Amino acid sequence: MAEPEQPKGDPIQGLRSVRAQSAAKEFLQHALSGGRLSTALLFEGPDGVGKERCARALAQCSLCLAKQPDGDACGRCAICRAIDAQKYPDVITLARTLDVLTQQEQTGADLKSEIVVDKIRELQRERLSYMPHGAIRWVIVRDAHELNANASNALLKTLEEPPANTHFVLATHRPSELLVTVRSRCQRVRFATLPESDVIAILASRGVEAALAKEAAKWAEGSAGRALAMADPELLASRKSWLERLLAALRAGKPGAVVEVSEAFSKEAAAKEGDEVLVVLEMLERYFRDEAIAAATDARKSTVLAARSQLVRQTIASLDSNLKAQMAVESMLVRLRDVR
Amino acid sequence: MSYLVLARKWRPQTFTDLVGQEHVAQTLRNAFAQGRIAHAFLFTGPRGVGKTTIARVLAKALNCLSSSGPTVEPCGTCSACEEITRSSDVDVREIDGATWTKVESIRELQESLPYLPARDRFKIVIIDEVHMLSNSAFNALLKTLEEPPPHVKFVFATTEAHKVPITILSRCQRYDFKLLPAQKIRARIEHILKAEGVGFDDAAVSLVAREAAGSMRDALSLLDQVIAGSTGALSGPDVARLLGVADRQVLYDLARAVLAADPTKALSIVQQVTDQGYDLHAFARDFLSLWRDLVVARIVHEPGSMLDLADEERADVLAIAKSADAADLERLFLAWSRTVDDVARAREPRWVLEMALVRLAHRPALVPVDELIARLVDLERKLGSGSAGSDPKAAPPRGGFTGPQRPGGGSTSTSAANPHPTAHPAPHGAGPNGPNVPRASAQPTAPTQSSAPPAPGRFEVVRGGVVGATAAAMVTPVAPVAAPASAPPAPTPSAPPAPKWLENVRARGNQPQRPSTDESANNAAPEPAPPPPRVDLLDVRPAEANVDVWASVLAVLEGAPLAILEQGVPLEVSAKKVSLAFEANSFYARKVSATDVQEAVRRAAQKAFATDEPPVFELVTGALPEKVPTIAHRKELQRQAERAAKIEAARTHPFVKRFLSLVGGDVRKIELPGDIPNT
Ligand SMILES: [Zn+2]
Ligand SMILES: [Zn+2]
Repeated sequence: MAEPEQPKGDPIQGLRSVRAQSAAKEFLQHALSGGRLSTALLFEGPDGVGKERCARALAQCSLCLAKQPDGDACGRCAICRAIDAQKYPDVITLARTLDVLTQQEQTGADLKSEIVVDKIRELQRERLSYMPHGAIRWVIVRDAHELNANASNALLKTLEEPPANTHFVLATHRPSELLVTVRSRCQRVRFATLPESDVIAILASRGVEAALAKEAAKWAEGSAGRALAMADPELLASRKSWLERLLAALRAGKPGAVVEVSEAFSKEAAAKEGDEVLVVLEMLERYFRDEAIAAATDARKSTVLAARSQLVRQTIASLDSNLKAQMAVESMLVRLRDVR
Repeated sequence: MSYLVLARKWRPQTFTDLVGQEHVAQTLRNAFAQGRIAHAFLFTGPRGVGKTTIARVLAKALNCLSSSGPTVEPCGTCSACEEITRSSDVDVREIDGATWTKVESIRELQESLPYLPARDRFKIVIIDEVHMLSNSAFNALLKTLEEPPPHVKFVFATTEAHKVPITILSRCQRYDFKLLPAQKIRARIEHILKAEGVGFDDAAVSLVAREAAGSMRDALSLLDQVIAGSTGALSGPDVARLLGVADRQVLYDLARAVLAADPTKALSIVQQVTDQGYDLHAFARDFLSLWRDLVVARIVHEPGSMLDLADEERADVLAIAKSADAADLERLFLAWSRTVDDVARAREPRWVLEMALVRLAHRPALVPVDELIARLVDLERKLGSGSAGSDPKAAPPRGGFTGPQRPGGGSTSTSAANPHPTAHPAPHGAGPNGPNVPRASAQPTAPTQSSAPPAPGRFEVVRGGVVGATAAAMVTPVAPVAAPASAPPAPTPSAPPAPKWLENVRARGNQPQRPSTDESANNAAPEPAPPPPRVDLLDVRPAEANVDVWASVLAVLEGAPLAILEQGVPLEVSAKKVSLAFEANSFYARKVSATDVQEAVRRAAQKAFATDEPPVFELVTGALPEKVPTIAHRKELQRQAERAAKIEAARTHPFVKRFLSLVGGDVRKIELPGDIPNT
């Protein structure tokens, strides 16, 4: 049974506690043991597949008091535990939302959708300028694509010629949005989507009930992060029912039905937190995509279904640019009907 | 303990070491030889091509103690050279423009400059990423640049020279650094690998050089990555795996699958690539560059250096290109270039890849017009000699003329659901109408197909002979459809000012009482306006004359659903009053009873009639006769007329007629783009 607050999941105990990602782990372990691990790493791959977890595990490997013969961290010593609990002072996380550097100024600054240059300067001034002898420090930048241009530029020198024993891990699911000058200075480590079984296991470790975990994993495209966001029975049921209603309106093909469902949908979505419209539309995109693939050998059918999937994708893209949801969904349904 | 990355370990220490920027080194050498050394240098160019490196070498060249003056060959061992290498020379300051923004530090620098150097010949200020300086910093710098002390030299480096103020640029000697050709990167990598004692094969080195895309630092970062990840010698497949780039063979297989119209194979390749955790964006980009190579290989007689490929790869590319059609390849390149953009943006890039591949694999076939004519002539001859039966199906021409069979493909020919077989359902640049917007304002959609007369070119032949065109010199045998005579005149598209003919109906009416504009009306259940008058069987005859006026009102409508209002019967549309009739108790009537919808209509009408006050709105409900004069109905008629005209155009198209006259058959069915498949 789930605890009152959301369980944290399994503790981080070295690289072996990072699920799947064998290629990434193998690379890191190999580079670590060969003494060839760059001090600027770029972890790229889908969101919610364990990049940041892996970065902490890696920090454990370099700082552990009782390293295992294969170079992995023990996971039990004081340092390993402190890193897992995010309480170790020399493993610094830099992020837009959670900013351990500026705890004192919990103002509106955190609402910005980018990491601003002040944070980098502060990091350099207050955390990197002095280093006790023999210490090893890790800086983990979460969602590194959110570094804005000034912040990225401010990082360049530090990335290329970091202070002694300072390691950077930039984690991102949108690597192409990083400045090319930043990417050019990093060793890249790729993270893949997780097998569904791992996603289910991760959900279970967070106290999600089995049937729900399975259903949520189905829609999560190999991302534990997304599966967790899906693993709310009410939310999931509501999303599925909206998917059904959109499809029904499409089948009915009457302008009235289209307008009605678009209006009701966008109203309900607006009342909820987060990107409900986006999530449901992605489910719709996926629905057409699955159908298109099932019909792949039927030229007409699969072409139509693929075109529909693409049309939903375009609608999602236009939503990003703040088009009114109702108009966008309405227009999408009308156009979907016309793609035959 | 920290690993020293190759890019730092192998940073060139002399002008001659630096690969690929020989023009820069040469110019600097000449300047030194002639004693014309500028006091400010600007190094600009892409990332990782040696700007900062040369800046440091330049500092050594200016300050080397082993020579009596500046020298192009700094010794590298004197205390100045050594300290510059270690960034610890007190007279050489290296500043990071991106973090060095405090006014105090600039002032401090300025105050220190007039003093003579402590030991060296010159005080040298290197500012990296100089484009990041603030305006106040640039202004402060400018003063020093205008009257520099003779013992001060500035070196600026930037990837974005256009962000540096012109006043600064004009006081610098500018050097443009270039991206490096792959061969030079390859040679340098080989040199370093040998020195590091790491074995390698050609494919491995080629791959790293290619992925570096012209930047030496990228190349060395990648090299770090592959050395760190492999055991023993570097091999092509290992490097591909470690860099997350697909093996060339995978790309070739995918291209073959698309060309052979085999979506199943294409999808299985995407599956494989995803399972291996490849960067799908990079994959899509590599696939694009393959289409580019294929187009070049197909249309250029001796591609030579236009194909930057190893010998084996070149042979593969040439073989694939040879088996394909040039126009088809161009079409695929174009379509894929759009897919690459979409992949970069999508949260689930895999779906984008898959859907694009499904559509491309099923793209309609292209058949050259001359080949078509040749086939017809051939057929004519055969028919003439009586060697073929009267049933045209008995002797189908090769390839996809009669329908389902496509040359080489074997799968059914696709619907021309979209005349442009691109990654997008709505063709880009489809003309002034842009992507099809079915719910566009009141104007009927004009036919979007090109009106160019059939010219020598190519066909896409689809079932029933309906044809779509692609951008590159294709003809569309479907003649453009003029608005049918029966269709109503097109209302002015999105006409904001009131049309002239409205003048006579313009009048200043009684001021209608303003219903409260309650913000919450949106969220609350539709707040009913004054109860609509009820009429049993509505007389809708007067509405016929109002449809056009109503359309021009709707053209300026904002904030209400067009689709609903288009269903209304405009009993009266004037500056005084808008009266709409709907079927009683219908969904539409309910919607229009909301005050916010009515308000939107009144605002639109006020705008269209250019009056000071909005007109009164009246909602009439009752039983509607079967045929009602509404915009929706008119649009439907229009659509039907257009469809009929298109079908007629296809039926009477010269090619179709000629074909029929040759084979003596009859057209049974014509399908148009956008028709519903019978599944
Ligand atoms: Zn430990
Ligand atoms: Zn020297």
